[in-house]
Amino acid sequence: MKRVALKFCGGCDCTYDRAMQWERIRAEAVDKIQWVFLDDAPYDAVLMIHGCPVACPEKHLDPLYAKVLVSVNDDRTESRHIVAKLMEKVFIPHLVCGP
Amino acid sequence: MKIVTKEDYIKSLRDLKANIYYNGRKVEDATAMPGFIPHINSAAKTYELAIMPEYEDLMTAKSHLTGKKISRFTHIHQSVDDLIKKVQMLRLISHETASCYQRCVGFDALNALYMTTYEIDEKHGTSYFKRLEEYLKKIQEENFMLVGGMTDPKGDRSKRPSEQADPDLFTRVVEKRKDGVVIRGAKAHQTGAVNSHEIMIMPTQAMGPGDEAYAIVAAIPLNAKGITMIFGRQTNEERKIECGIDAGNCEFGMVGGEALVVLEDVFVPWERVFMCGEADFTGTLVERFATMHRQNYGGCKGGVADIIVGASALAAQYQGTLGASHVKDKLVEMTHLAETVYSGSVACSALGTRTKSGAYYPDPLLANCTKHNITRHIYEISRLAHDVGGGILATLPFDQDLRHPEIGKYVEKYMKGVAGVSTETRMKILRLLENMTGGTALIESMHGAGSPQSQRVMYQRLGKLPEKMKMAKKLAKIAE
Repeated sequence: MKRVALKFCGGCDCTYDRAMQWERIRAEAVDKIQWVFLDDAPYDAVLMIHGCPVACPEKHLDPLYAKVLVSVNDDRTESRHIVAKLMEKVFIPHLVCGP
Repeated sequence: MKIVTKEDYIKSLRDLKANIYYNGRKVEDATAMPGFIPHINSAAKTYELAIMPEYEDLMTAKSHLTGKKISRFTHIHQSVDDLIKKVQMLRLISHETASCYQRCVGFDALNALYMTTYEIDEKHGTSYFKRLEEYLKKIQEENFMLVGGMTDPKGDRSKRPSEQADPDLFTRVVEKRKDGVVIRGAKAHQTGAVNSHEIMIMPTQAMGPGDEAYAIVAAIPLNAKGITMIFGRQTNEERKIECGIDAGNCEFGMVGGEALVVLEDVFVPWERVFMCGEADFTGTLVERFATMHRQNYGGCKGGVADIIVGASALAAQYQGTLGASHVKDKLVEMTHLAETVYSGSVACSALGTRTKSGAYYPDPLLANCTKHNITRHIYEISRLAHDVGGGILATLPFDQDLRHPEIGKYVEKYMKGVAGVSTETRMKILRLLENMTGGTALIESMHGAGSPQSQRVMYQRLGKLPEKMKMAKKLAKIAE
C-alpha cells in the first residue's frame, strides 16, 4: 500500500465539489493507498485537491515536494488517472515532515 | 471549556446564562430562543467548518504563541498570507450561510489590540501586551466567541464624552480599585453579543485631554454581574420564527443579530484590562480596529453577493427570462460588482505590512475604500436583484396560502413559472432573494464597520493629496 498525504486548499470559492472528487479518488484507490494527513509523515506522495487553479497551498510549498506531489484543480481528470499518478511516486527518505 | 463542535458551542451558551431581553421578555435559554437560533447557527458554522479537512487550511491557523492548531478567528496575523486567508475564509463562510457569522469583530479587536498594546507599553512602560498574550492563549485554547465592543451610544455627537449631559453615554471607568476597575456605560449594535461568551470593550473614538476615564479596554464575560443585553429588532424576524418558506433563509441569520449591551457598574480585574487612561493611543486603536474590520467586507459581503447573483439567476430561470440579453447583462454587472468588492479586500491584504509587534496590518487606505464600496455596491447589486426578480418579490403570497386547502390551488396555479419547476421552488428562491436584499441586510452594509463618512475622513487623512498636487505640478511644468 502506498502511503499518501491528503491536503485540501481552504475552499474559498471553488469551481467544483472537491469533496465529491475526493470520494471518487478514494473509491478508486481502495486497497492501493493508505490515506494520511500532511502532519503524519513519512509518506510516499502528497495529493493536493484545490478548488481552483490558483492552488493556494502550493504557493509556499518546498520545491522538494514537487517530486511527490499530485495536484488536482478540477473534476475533469478521471480519478483512475490521478490514482495512477500517485502510484508512480516514490518515497523520498528526507521528506519526514509536512510542508 | 474547550469548544470544538457546534454542540460544544451551543452547550457553552446554554451554560453561560447571560442576562438577555428579547421583545420585552427575559430570555431563559438563549439557545432555545427562535429569534436567536439563526444567528447561533451562523456562528456555529465557524466551528463546524474548522473541523472539516476540506476547509481547515482557511479555518484554522498555527498559533505563534503555542505552536498549536487554532481557530483562525483567534489568530494574530503573522504574514500577508494570513491577511489574505482571512478574506478567503470570510467568503467561504458567506457561501455557507448567506449571512453574518459575527466572529470577525472579536478577531479584529484582538489583532488591533495586539499591535497597539505593544506600542502603549513601549511608550508608557505598562504591561498590557503581556496580559493580552495571556488572554490570547486562553481564547486560543478554549475557542470561545468574543464580541468586539467599540460603538458607544454617544448621545449628543457635537460634544466630547466628558461634555455629555449624561456621562454614561460613553463607556467609562467609574472607579479604580487595587484589584481592578468598575465600568459603566453601554455598547450599541453589538453583533453576535447574545450568542457570544465575552466582550472586548474598546474606546469608541479618539479621546483627548479630560477624557481619560473613557480610554478603557477590557475583556468581560457576558454573564458578568451588571451586564444586560437587549436584542435589536430586525426586518421580518417573525418569519424566522415561523421557519417556513417566507423566511427565505430560515437556518441562518439575515445579518449578525445585534444587541445593546448595558454595563451597569461591572467589575473587571486588572489582568483583563488592556488600556486604562492612555488616551494618546485611543485614536490609533480605533483606526486599526476600523481598518481591520473594513478589510473584511469584500470577503463576507462579496460571498453574500455571490449568493444574491445565484439566486437572481435562478429566479430568472424559473420565470423563463434567464436567456434575455438584458437579464444576462444585469447578472454580469452584479458579478462585476461582487468581484470588485472582493478584490478590494484582497488588495488591502496583499499590501499589508508588519507592525512593531510582529502582527500584520492591512493597507488602511485600501481597506477603507473596500468598505466604502460596500456602502454602494451591495445596494446596486440588490437593486439589480430586484430588477431581475421582478415585482413579485414584494407581492408574493404567504407560505400558508400556498398550503391552504381552499386557496392553495390558486397560488400554485398563478405563481407558477416555467414547466418543470414547482411553484414552491420558485417561491423559495424569491423569498431568499427578498431576505438578502432589503431592510436590515442593506443597512448593515451601509453602517457596519463604520458609516460612509468615517471612511471619507480616512481618505482625507491618507489620500496623499499634497503628493498628488506635486505630481500634477511637475507634469504641467509649474515651478512655483
